[in-house]
Amino acid sequence: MDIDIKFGTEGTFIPPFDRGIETIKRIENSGYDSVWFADHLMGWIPESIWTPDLIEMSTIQNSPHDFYDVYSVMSVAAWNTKNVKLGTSVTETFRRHPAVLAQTFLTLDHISKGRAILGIGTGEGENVIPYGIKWEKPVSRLEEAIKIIKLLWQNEGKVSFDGEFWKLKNAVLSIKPYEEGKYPPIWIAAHGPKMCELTGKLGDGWLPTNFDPKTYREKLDIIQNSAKKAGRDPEEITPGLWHNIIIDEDHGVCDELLESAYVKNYTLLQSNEYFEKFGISHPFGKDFYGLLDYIPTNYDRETMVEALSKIPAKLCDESFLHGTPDEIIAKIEDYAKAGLKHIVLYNITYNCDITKIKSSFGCVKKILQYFKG
Amino acid sequence: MDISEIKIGTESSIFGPIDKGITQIKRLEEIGFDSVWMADHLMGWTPESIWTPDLIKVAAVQQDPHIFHEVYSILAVVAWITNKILLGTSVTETFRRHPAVLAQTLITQDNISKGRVILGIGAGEAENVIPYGIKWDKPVSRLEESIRIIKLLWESDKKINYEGEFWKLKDAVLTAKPFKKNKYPPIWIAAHGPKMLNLAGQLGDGWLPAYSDPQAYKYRLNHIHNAAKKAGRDINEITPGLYSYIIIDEDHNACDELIGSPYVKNMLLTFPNSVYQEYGTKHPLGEDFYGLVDYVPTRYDRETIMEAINKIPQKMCDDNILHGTPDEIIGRIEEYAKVGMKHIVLTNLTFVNDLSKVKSSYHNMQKVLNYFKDKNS
Repeated sequence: MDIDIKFGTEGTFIPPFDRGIETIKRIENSGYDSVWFADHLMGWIPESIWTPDLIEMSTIQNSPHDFYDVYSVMSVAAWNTKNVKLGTSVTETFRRHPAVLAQTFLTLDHISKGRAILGIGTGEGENVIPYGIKWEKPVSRLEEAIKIIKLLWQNEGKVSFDGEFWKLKNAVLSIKPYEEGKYPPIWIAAHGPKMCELTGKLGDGWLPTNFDPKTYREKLDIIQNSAKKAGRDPEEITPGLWHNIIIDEDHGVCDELLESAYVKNYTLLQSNEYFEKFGISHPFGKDFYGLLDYIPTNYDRETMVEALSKIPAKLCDESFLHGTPDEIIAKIEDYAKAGLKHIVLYNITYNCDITKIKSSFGCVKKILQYFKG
Repeated sequence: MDISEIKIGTESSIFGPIDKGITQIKRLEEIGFDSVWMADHLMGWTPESIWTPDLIKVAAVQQDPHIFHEVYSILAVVAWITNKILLGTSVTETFRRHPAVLAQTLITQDNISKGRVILGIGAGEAENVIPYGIKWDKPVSRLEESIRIIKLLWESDKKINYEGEFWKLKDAVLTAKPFKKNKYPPIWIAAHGPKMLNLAGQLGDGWLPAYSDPQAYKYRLNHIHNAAKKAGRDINEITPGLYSYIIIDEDHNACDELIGSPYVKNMLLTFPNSVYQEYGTKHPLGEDFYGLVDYVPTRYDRETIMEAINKIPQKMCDDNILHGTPDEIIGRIEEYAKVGMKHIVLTNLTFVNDLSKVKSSYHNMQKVLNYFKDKNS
């Protein structure tokens, strides 16, 4: 089967800044098609468990919440690269007004000469609620935000918009894209049905996380049907996928790393529905949907250790793409058969075991070589 | 007055190709400017209804008065490619971005620039807020709360709570640290009225007003110092800056002509009614008009604006816009220095109505810069 898949990877870096930019240049030279940057104020790991006995990363990183401003990073990354696409994974419009995002991405479009991707989602509670911003109707808000962004981009002259969240009157955004008529693609992180419908109506790409190939195909069908209903060509929407991966020549090593606190903490981002498939409720409650509700700074060490202990090994096994290079290659081919065209791999192997940094990246290289020759 | 301390900065927002704009800024650093500033705008101050080459010459090369890049994306690249020059916004606010976003952005750019960024901030301008559907509400109180939140996020190692009127923070964190331990970006406040001047005295590391003749400057600085003393602060901690438009030419008459142009006069519509009253008149758009805060240029047609700017007293332009030969400008800056000003940001308007003046005006600005730099060494 002739598979043409694009490959991306995580580019988010911690201090020092100069070293991070060197990493981005290396990523470009490794042949990746895209590099992605997280838009976070707060990380996913509670500082209450950020100790060497539980999380090895704590020996080299001061705090789990060390994040640079994503747009400052992307601008300088764009300035220092030539070919690789640069995207947010993902931003939202609680912290910044959609007009700011619209303006930012046209500026990035200029700096990068057409390589910026506006990766966007509904937002996550942890970057919104602790900062005193009201968390309300995130899906409707996102839909309105995207419409406003496109309106400001595509209109010459003043714009009015009678929205539920924002009412625009005599608004302008006169800056034009780098190439006439060619705007940054908007990739939506969609998981539920409403978000998938939205992606079909308004998205230029789809960037979900952690679906198995069967579910991926089902969701892609929703998106493509929604596109057709809106009079769009479904092929206009790039089917992407974000996957954290644990990779090693020895599958047994991967299984061991799946038991780490780092991995278990990540599973807390899943919904209660997902946990119920494994016979238990989400450790934080039946109405918990981690991606939106998990605010790590709320939890002390004792609560965390107890919660992590409840997570079944089988759940970790299923929710993380892991294995040998050949096994992961086979999985990616399954996704390709299901319609995937652009996969973003975030190698978290060394986050679980720092000694694995060189070997795991060596394994990832094999995957790239296989698909890109 | 110690003029060896006077620092000279300039505004250099980029409108055209980015590569070219960045190269120009690198050149400003090489020439020796102490600081470079960029505007944080979605909308410009000139109505598109008068943006035609017959009225405003620069409209022949810049299609639209509302072309603005996102300020922090550009500043990040400027921070990356420069080494000495200070970098600031003139000025940002917290209607479009949450204060935590500003806090994170400034620490990031402090890291990139190795300690050279300044948070230039004000209460906000209606034109960048109201047309976009953001509620304009208690801007001064909002700014005060924002600054407190920014400082709290910067200075805390652990999670913080804050019971504010606009934002209630609970278990919030911002753990990225500045480039140099405990040395945070200075916060320069654009203050004009009494409440804002109090705020500058209580919380500011610098003051960056957009207008003030030397007399008004002295009065305002005194107000800031009183507020600082009351808050138990050393007045020398607060850098007295000034943001000033400049029209500069070897021929003073050329300056007089340029000052009367619609572009320049339109800028004075951002001044409050109180300034107009000093000239025996009122703000052309209304007695309760406070320019910077009320003026939304996209609302006005050509006729209305031309009628308004024709009512602006010539003397008001003369007094409030630095204009003249290099020697005259130097003399004027020294007048400000006599009343305490230490860091002036010159925004060159000379060429907006005479494109042939681009090179000469920047050349003349350099003469002014060199005069004060010589005093420094």
